[in-house]
Amino acid sequence: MIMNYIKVALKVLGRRKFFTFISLFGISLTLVVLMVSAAVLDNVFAPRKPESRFDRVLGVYIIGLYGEGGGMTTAPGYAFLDKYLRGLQGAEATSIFTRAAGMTMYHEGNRVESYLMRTDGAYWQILDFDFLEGGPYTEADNQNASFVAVITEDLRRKLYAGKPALGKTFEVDGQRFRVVGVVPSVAITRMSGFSEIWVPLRTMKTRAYEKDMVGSMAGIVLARKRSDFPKLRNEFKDRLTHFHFDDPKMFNRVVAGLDTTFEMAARSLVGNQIENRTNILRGVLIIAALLFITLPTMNLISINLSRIMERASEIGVRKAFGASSRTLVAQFIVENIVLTVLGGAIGFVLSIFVLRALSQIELIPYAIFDVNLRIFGYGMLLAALFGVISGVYPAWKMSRMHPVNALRGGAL
Amino acid sequence: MIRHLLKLVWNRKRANALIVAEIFVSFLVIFAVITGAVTYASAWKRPVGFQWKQVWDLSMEFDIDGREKANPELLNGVMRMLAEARSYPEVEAAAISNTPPYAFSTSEGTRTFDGRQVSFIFDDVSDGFEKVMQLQLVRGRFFSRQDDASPHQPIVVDTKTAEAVWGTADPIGQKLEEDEGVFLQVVGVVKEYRKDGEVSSPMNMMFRRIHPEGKYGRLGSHILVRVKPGTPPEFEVQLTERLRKISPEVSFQLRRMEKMRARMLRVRFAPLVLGGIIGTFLVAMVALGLTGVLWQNVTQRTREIGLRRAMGATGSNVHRQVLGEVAVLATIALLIGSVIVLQLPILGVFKLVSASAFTTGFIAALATIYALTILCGLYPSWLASRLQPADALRYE
Repeated sequence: MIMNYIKVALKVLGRRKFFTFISLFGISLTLVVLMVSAAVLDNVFAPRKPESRFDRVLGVYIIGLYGEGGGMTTAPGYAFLDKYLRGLQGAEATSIFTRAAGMTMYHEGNRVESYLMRTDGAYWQILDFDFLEGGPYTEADNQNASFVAVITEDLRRKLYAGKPALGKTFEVDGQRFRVVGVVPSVAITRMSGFSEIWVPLRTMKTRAYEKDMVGSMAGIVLARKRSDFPKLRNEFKDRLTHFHFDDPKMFNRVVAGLDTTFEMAARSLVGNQIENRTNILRGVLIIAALLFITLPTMNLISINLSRIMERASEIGVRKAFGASSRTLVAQFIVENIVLTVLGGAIGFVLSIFVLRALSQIELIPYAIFDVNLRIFGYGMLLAALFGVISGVYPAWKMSRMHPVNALRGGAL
Repeated sequence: MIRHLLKLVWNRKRANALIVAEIFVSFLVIFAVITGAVTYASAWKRPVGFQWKQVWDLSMEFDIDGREKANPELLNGVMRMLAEARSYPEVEAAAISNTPPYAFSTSEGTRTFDGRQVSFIFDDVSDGFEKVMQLQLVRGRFFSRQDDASPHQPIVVDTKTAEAVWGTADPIGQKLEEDEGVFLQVVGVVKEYRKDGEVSSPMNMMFRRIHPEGKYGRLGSHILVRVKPGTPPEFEVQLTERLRKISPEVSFQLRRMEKMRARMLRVRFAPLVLGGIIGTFLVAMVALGLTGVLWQNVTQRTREIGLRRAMGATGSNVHRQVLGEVAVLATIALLIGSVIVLQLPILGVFKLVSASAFTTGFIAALATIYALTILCGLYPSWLASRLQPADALRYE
């Protein structure tokens, strides 16, 4: 039966080429926009190299201190992370690192702009970089404040024209480092993984940072398994109840939490103090997508309505021979899904080109957008959903057509 | 005639309701995109109140948020760097700033004046800032050593702030309460200063003086340097290395303000460009769909049209009838759209866009929708006008 419907659907598509073109144009471009957005979000939030273990990682990226006269939201400092994050039970590893900061270097007369991150040794255990050359530095290097660095492939090209860099030195921020490892470039959207130069934390110019409660650091913990998340969160929350305030007159409340990358985005976009922020962010994204598909859906419905007018006599004949309304509705919806899935497939192919172009123009520096099966699946699901929504009303109208009117090709 | 057209439209109300809804949503999309574009274009034309060319920005890595006063060592280190930068013949002027133009950092807050809440954008700057950014003084003077002994922290405001707070009164010498018993005092007024440059949204700007010995004021985390035109690029290396020697404990990065500006513009224009692309696609889709639906409509009403021709209507009569129907549909949609859009000023949209941008966007969107719908109706109505009465009446 379904095969028959599909056959009819394809025949109908071939009949009125202009209509088919309009429908497919609308459907495919709508899905391109949705799929490209999905691919970008996937690129930002889904675990992938070098953050492929991030389905087991929670981090503290933002803390808020509040008091009578207002408050502030900022990145945590070393002292805070060292005291309240390090040593949680159920954590396999804990790492503290600075945010990647922009740095200008002058290398053999060339001006090179780059990013520098200072990390401890555990950083390399939690993130899984593929080393093109050499390897990471260790916690011992950090303790000894060795001037060693890991750089990206892109920086190796800028500094050493792409030639092997192990053992070579360069100067950044007035300090000279020796290259011990080279890794592939990381997309700038990766909160913990992005930088171009990594050096030990203790190479920091002064040790003043060790006393800072707020500053420009981040801390991450690797859980043994995902189901340990609630336990870790509770433990961290519990520790914060004993938070020591330097000046309780100024600040008397601290708000921080162990976040996944998406939760961190919600914390910074929606607000640190707002409950349910993840749901709000999710809701905003869904509403934006729904608003966007309103117009394409209406357009498809009105085209579909027009198209079934054309088939009034066919419907009349089927009704006269006893086809029930339900059969006709099912048939029309199947036809519409065939149309939208076809549009979805075209859209998918177009998205591949759009994403390739976006990677090329460096919309997000170093981000390589690609489409994977997961996004293809989302796309097809969206297409089918789109097909059902835009097919139901026209199908219902069609099924209610009176056989006599329908046979005469009459109005709905 | 119009009554007749309305009747024809009413007879097919269900199908027409969808078309009306589509035109209505398209109207909203076009209105939003055009209003946005006009807002940007008019903001672009206004002077920014400073000169970004030849300015280098040294952004230092320290966090002064929440700390009333920088520690003396840090302050001394930064002041040493400032003095060193000023000593070069290549440097025209140098100054400290906390939230310089195009730096993606903003410090804002509200202060109460005469029982009114006024919101401000702050920058904490040292003496000489006006020379680096080439601010244009309107009244009074900029900060100088004569402010060192002042009991109140001196501030300079821009004309927009002066008008928002003191109206037509002379702002020089006026005081604002910063904290309980702590006052700010105006010493000068500069032309409107738009911190984020060409794409700034309207703001009330206030510059607070940084006391060289830290008596009052927060320390800024940027040193801005204006170099003379024709300064060789090697000077950048020389300056950087020298400053690192002077204050080895301070981490900093040197950037050119033109690069920062380019980045700011790219970030601010991205949503507009994206909105424009998506809007164009949506409207193109609606236009194609409308053409298809009208075409189908005409085909379906072949017999009705044939009858009109047989009764003596000319081809152009039919042509006008079809276009008239489209125009009626567009008008209904635009009436609903106008009612909704005209509510926006009540919701305070004028805080975001100017009245003229709003009006331009509104009128341009109306015109675009009319033009587009008529364009979509042209081909189908031409088809209808060519029908021969004899053929049309026999059409099944």
